[in-house]
Amino acid sequence: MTILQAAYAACKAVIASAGREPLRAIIYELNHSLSSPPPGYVDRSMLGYLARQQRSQFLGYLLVDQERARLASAPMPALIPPLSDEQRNLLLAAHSQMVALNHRALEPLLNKFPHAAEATDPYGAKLPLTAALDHRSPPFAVEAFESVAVAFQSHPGLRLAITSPPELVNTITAENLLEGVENLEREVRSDGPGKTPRELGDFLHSEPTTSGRRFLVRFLASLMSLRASLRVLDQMLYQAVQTDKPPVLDQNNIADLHHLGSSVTGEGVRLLFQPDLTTFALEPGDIVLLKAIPNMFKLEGLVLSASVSSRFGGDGDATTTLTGRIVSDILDPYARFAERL
Amino acid sequence: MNVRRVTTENPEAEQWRLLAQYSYEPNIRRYLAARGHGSPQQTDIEYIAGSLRQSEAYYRAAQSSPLDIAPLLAYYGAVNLLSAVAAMLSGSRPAINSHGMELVKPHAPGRIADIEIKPATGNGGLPVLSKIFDPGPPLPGGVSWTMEEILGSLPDLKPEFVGCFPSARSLTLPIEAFTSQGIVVERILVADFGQGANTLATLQAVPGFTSAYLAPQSAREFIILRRKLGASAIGTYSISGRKHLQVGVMKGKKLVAPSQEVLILMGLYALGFLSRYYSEQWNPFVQRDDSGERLVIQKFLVVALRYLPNLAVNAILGERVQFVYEVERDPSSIVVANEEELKRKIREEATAVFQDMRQR
Repeated sequence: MTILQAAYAACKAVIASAGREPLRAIIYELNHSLSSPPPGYVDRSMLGYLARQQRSQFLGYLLVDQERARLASAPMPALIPPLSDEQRNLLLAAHSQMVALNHRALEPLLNKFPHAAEATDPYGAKLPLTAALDHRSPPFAVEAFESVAVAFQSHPGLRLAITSPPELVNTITAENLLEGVENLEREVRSDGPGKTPRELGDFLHSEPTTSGRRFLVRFLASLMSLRASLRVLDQMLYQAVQTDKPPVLDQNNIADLHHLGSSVTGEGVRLLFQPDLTTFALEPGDIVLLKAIPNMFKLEGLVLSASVSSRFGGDGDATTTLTGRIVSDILDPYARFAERL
Repeated sequence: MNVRRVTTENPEAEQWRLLAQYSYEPNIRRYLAARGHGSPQQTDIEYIAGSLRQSEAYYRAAQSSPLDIAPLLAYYGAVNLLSAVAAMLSGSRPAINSHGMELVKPHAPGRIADIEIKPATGNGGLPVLSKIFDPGPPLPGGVSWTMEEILGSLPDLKPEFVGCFPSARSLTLPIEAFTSQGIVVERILVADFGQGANTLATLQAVPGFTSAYLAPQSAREFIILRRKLGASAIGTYSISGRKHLQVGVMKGKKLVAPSQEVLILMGLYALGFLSRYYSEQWNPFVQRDDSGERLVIQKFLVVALRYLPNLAVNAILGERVQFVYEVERDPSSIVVANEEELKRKIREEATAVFQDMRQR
């Protein structure tokens, strides 16, 4: 079973889980104005909005709730109604299961290089959560999560990272690893989907394959690839809590499509589409399913949205432009960049 | 279909000049050979040449005849023209044994728009020619069409039809195309759907609409249409080249939107045989109509005489021929900038202004 197939199976398991419905209801409530807020408070949907900006699934809601006091004293103060204990506990349980999944998926790497944990953790660069994780009542099917975690251990980035020279890896601190991965990802993304920045291209062509610098960048790239793939996996599972199917972009809603290029850091697309109920609220970081356009565009698969902009021409005339990266079968939005280094 | 622009001061004469090429044997042989019909029968060649010559003669006679007899002459001209082109396209004379439709006895006196035509199946002119000139499904036999449905389906009759029959269902929707966000977008004026019409239901009744377009969007007085990627285009064109969507009509259990060639043929047959066999209704209409309907019928004849030969030329050439009158002129010294050039100019101007401010 490929990692992508295992991820789909895990999404199906999430949809069938008993824990899904209460979480779906919470997320829906926190993103919609269902009732008037208590006096002095802003609308509850503000919590959902700020949480979505964190691009970190269930953790986003917990962090906004945790930081309510700080938000209330910010230059633009927003007094956000707190989560109820029940909501907080359910979101924490779901986030804890995601963290456990990520950890299990990276187990072979973390056994060898424990200090790479933060750099490969999709939540590693976020604010620390003060509440302790709660693994007592995982809301989703544990077996399916175990299966996808085991499947993830076949990720080529994992093999590449593990086989990196320990004498090199162990000289780098956890903080420097995180910083290195962050910088590399920023650089890879700097020219947008489908493009490889010139400096990286030059590096690929000119740097000797056996140089220490090349080993280091290859190791950082493998960590980046693992983290990005786990982010995609986590987002797929999170979206499965909310809807049975990913938002679909196909011949029935796409008005224009541009292939932005295929480079060592992946393939990019720009899609102009007419939004409907399933696609009108897309945001960067969301996963959409792109289907082939008959007689025109064969490429299809999951797309990780990088930017989304909407245009309203008046009354009901609306279009959305989404640029995104095609997600490979190992869930990597940067193709197999690390392997090519 | 590609568009070929032919410059002329007189489109009617020019289109017959183009058609007249195929009243000469060598040209017919070359055309048929190019289409893979290398050894045509001499009788088929004579049939093509003769039918084309007769159609032109009937058309010229119709143009100079009064309304009393013009429709019948125009019908014979149309049948000859379409039969000749059908033979050119298929390589042999079409096997036609009747008109392939019948006029339902009218209840005089009444509106011309209410007279009915019943298409037949088999080897009549209408079903045989429909197979060649209409890519849609065959017309169900024995199911009546009213003249109102025929007139309301022709793009070039839209203004006169709406003016004369304001409560009738409008079956043709003019399209305005424009560019937005780098793609061609089409729009239809809501008013063109007719008063109180359900715009969505009307569009759903355009055959092939859902395959060709994304879900329509509403924007104030317009309905916005974006084409589906990779899908075949649909639509029909007016004499001036304006695209229209043709709304289908339920006939039996089929949604049908006949081509303009078929609509014109049916309309001419109805009027021709009404004038020939039902003078008691035709004569008062010709002499004393005060409803304005006569203007619509006269316009229908003008369109039939002007556009059917054009459609025949299109079928022969496999291109949409548009006759235009463009005068030659010296090249203009004014350079029209595109959006990118304008942006660059503005950037340069702005940079110059900022530099100037700094220096001060």
